[in-house]
Amino acid sequence: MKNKKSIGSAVKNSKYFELSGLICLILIYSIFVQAKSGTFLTIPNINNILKEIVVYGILSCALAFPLINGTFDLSIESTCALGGTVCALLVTDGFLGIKTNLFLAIVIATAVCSLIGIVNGLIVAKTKIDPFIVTLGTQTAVRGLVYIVCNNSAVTSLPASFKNLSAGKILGISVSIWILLLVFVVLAVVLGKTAYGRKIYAIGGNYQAAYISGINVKTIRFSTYVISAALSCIAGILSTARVGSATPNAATGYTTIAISACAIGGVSLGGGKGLAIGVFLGSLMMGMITNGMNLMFIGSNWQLVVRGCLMVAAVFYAQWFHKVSSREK
Amino acid sequence: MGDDILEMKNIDKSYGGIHALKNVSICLKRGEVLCLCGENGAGKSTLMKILAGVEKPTDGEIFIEGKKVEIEKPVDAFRFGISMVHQELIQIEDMTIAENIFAGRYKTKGGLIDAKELRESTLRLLEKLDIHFNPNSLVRQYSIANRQLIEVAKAMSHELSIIIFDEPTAPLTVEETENLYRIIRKLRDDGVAVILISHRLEDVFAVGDRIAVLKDGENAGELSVKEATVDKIVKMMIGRQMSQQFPEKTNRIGDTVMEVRHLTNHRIKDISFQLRKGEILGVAGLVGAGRTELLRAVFGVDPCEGEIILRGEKIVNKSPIEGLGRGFALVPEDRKDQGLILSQSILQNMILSILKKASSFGFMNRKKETGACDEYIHKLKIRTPGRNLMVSALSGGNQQKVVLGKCLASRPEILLLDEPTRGVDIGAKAEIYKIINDLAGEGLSILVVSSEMTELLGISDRILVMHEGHLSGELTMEEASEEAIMKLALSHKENGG
Repeated sequence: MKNKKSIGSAVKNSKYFELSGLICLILIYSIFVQAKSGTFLTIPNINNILKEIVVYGILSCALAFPLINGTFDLSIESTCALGGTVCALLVTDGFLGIKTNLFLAIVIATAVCSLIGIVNGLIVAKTKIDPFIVTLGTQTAVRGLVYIVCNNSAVTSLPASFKNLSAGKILGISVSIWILLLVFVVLAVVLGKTAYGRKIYAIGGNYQAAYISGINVKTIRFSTYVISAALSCIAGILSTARVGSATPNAATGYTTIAISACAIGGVSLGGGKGLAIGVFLGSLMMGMITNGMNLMFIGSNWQLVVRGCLMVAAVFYAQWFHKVSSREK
Repeated sequence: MGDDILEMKNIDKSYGGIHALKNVSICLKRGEVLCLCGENGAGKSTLMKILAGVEKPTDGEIFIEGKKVEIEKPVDAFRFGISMVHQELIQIEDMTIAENIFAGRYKTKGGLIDAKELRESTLRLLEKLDIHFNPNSLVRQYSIANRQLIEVAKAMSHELSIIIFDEPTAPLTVEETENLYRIIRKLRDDGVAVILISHRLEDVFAVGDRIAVLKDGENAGELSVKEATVDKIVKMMIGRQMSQQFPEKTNRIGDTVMEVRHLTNHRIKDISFQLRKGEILGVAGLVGAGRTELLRAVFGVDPCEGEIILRGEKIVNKSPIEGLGRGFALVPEDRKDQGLILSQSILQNMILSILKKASSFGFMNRKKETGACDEYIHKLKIRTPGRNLMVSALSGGNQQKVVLGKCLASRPEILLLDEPTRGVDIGAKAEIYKIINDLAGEGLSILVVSSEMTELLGISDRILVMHEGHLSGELTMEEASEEAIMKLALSHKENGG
């Protein structure tokens, strides 16, 4: 029944088509770096890249919820640091006098971070203050809290069980990578398959229309901030596990990376658009830039320059790709 | 031809497949007020947009003072002395009158804006129009009527020879309208040629010299105001027989389903009426009379006082969620702003109101959602290659049907339609009328707001008329006519309040 043309147009009309631009970019970049260094496309290095993107990959997922919902969350990096610090304190010196085992520590840290999300969500949903400003405020305030909580110094001498969240392996792959993949799968299912996901897209696409269609816009908007904060906490815990200590200035600047990853991955900063696989590819691209340039012995200063240029170029490229594909319809 | 300041000859314009203007010609003399009449979608605004350089004609020629000209951009129009006062005013609200009038053309002194000169030249312009506003006050503070005058002053700040008014009197009160008439006459006496687009024939008789009628994008005739009568103009405007556009009424009206009692909020005042099963109740009134606000209050979008008796039960909808739960559904006035999520597919839009029904345990049920979507694509005859097409790729009429489908999917008993055929071409209009009629036939009670009186007269079983937030009257179809509606829409009958 299906002829070639209809398959072709089905591919083109698919929501995934926009990502083919990014996939091309990733392939070209891989081939280029592989040609230069020879070790880029080896299994240990791919493992390295994935490990590299654990933290900002999960942060990108955290950001994707409010972004697709049409708002912003700049506070994720501070919440991430808070989560790591609280969790580390709970298993070492104690947080507010409480000492627990690792599992409880993760639960409590996530709960504490969710409070930040609740504050963000309430202010954004109930007032008309721009989410950008609200979360810029919490970003600063929470960072202050992190310094207070850890008393200006890094939390060290973590138990081995904590470090094993990163160093430990299941089927030869780091636990943290499994968690990363799990988060992306959950993101994909929530966004793509659930009524909740549909509501997130609808509100981001057109708030008024969603409201008139009977969607509980405020509750959903609120919930995206709570999810965002909880995911940020998990990213923070994994970051702490990897470094082996919780530093109060951890994850500084990671919001920018998460925004870049989402934007490159096709998440519309205006809301209403974005796919989990896109966020994953975006994060992957960010990780590959750092890793690849390290292999090519390019200094970290130049890496920043390239990352900045690439982000703008990639978004421009994605838009151009979209325009070309929709013109041919 | 000698004293014609403007001649538009054989103008053609098509958008994609839609032929908006076919071989239209008009001419205009100095010191003349030409009224451009025609139904919505007849092509008046398109023709004027071409003249103002906002749109480019597909074919045809424009002559100004006998010379052939090309008007490619709005700037070209200004150069030829053509200005347009748009229906939706394009002003920067947070800038002053003077800044708005001279935006982008400030006289400078040593690189800085010469504030004194700016103020004085604005004052001179306003004085010419005999209006006394402070040039340094913000535009935001002024009413729509006064903003129109500011727009006229802006037009006069250019070398003005032709000024176009697009539906200027629709949002104005009677006194404001009189004042605008005075300004138009003054412009005319100063030798400016005026083109007036208006639905209101009162405007035509008050200030017009000559009438040109457009119908379905074609010239439908011209006559001078002296020899014109309402009948003559309407006949030229409508031309076709009404019965063809509107379906034969097949709905049967039952018992009262909903009674609205003393509904009041900041925009509507003490509204009471009844709606019966299977009835199409029209709501007429001028722009700003509170019709949209009435629907929004009933549905639960805007807060209100008063009560609604629904099947014997006293209720007030506090949110659209409550409204939908009680069997209401609203097709909002502006489908792009409030009706659709343009960046999403037909399917995703169609099931917005029934996400719960189309999912199991929070996960979308593919079968249920595509089933509901296809049912309404089929029932409403939405022309699309598939349910996964982005709604932004659909024509206006099909987009409107998606909004309608989304509402119907929630299986409402009371359907609230706000301007259901706005921005929809004539063919799709007739289809939507038929759908509305069929829905009433199935027993839905329908409240429909429209600015097109012919539409209300064609589909309603009864018409409510609003004026400045009040209900100023109710007309049965025997009593209803454009004149009767207009009379009620303009003069509010005090009823105790």
